Amino acid sequence: MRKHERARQIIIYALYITSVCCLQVTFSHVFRLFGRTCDLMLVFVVLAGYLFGTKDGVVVGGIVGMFRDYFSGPVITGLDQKPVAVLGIGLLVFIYVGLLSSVLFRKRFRRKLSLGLLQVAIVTLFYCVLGHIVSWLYLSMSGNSVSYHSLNYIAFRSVLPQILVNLLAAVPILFLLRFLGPYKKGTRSGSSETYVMEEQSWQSV
Amino acid sequence: MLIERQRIDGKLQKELKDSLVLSKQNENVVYFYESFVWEESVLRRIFENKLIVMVLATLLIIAFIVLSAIPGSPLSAVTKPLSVVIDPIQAVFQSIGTKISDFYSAIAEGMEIRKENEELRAEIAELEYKVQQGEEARIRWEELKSAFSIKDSFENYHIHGASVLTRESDEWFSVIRVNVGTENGIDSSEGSYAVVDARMNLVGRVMSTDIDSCKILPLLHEGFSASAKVNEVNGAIVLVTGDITLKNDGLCVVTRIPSNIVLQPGSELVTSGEGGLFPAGIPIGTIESFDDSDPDNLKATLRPYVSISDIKDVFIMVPNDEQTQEEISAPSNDSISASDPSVTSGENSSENNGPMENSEGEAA
Repeated sequence: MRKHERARQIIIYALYITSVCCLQVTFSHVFRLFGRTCDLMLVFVVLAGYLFGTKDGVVVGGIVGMFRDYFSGPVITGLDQKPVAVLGIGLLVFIYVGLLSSVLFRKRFRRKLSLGLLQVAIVTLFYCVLGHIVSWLYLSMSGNSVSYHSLNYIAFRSVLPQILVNLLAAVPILFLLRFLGPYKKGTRSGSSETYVMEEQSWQSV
Repeated sequence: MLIERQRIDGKLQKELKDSLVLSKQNENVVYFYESFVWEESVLRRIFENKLIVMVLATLLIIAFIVLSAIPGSPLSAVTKPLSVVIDPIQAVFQSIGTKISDFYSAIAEGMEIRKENEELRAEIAELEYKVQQGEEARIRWEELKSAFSIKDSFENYHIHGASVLTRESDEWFSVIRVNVGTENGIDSSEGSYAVVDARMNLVGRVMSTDIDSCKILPLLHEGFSASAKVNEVNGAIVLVTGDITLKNDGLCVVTRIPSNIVLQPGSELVTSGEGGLFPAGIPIGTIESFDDSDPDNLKATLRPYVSISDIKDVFIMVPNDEQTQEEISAPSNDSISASDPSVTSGENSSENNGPMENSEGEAA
């Protein structure tokens, strides 16, 4: 990659990441629909991974995850039984989100623009379901609360509305990344074959 | 001749020795080089294997998470340099957003504002008369206060005003961030602080601080808990905690209700002062429903006064160390309780009587 291409990539990613993160945490009430807030950070990481591959997905995921931890890191009960805001959970989760979105159905979807929305829906589904499972396990183990949302609530008031609002948010982000994105032609330079080879190594894992 | 021969022999021997040493050194160099090349190739192979890299990175991040959860961990300071860069950028976004929303609301609400102005003018005239009466009452109150050494509520606290910078990202990342930090004298390493809104209703507690921002755990969060009491004479002491199933409906759960108590819907709960974090008497909310189906485990739901999603400004109550120390060293009984019933019920209430006073004028 040439110097100016690298500079463009860094500047545009920095601009988008800062904007997406700040917009989500500052105006969460504006991006609220069906009782859920659009997860712009998640959508951005998914689409960066889907459109531009594993390297971009993981790096963007790591940075966005770090922002997420900084702005609103999750709270757990510390060793002294007091609530403590931990760092690193967002980082870990979003690295895997970037990785997953770059390898999932890579061969079938072939980075088609329209199927990016489907990828967003699939990864959001994974994210929400895993989030609820981990949350339930944590609460059960900590013994702080034995009650948890019903399956009905999780399906129809949490996961489904979240997928819908994320899909709405994905449309402009998808077009921005494709047509005003970090790469001039809307895709990463380098032959597609090398790319597929690169991704296959992940799929074999 | 003999001497000459011996000299040559000695020279030859020395050269032979030197060459032997050199060859040995060379062998060592070759050996080290080979082992280095081998190690490098192994390392390269390891790092070329993406699975191993990912596993290593995951383990490293998990170790980071565990270490950051340890109380007083230095890793919590990692965000401090980040805050220097990110907070100003975020503040720019916030100010742009506020200006845009102000502009649109000014256009949309222009007619309403005009009508409201007329009503307010009439109201102002009425209030001016009341203010005059109130001023007289205030002077009388000040006289009585100094005569009987009445202590104002929360006068042992510095109250720092702050604006909400960021809100929750989703249901698992749901901490609020506000724009005061260690620079403003708020340091979470010295302990947590109570956070209230402009009407003195409980909002939550400070979790961690950076240079010019801090994280607040809102009272709806499942990790939040506060000792509370029913706001009446000899009111029962209960525990208010956040609940994951009630959070989205804006409710908290009330537990540890004494078995002989029935909480009536509409009853007000205030902080009890037990535990030392929240000063007594801060209003929390009202009882929404009471569940006595299990007599051993009475439960109630509470609707907090504060609406976390609408809140824009908060106030952080930092105990005034000097005054607190004075009180500890010389506990005086001269503070007369003006309104708080907790004194009669035997609670520690050195700082919870009468109306709130802004000790430094930092609050609104």
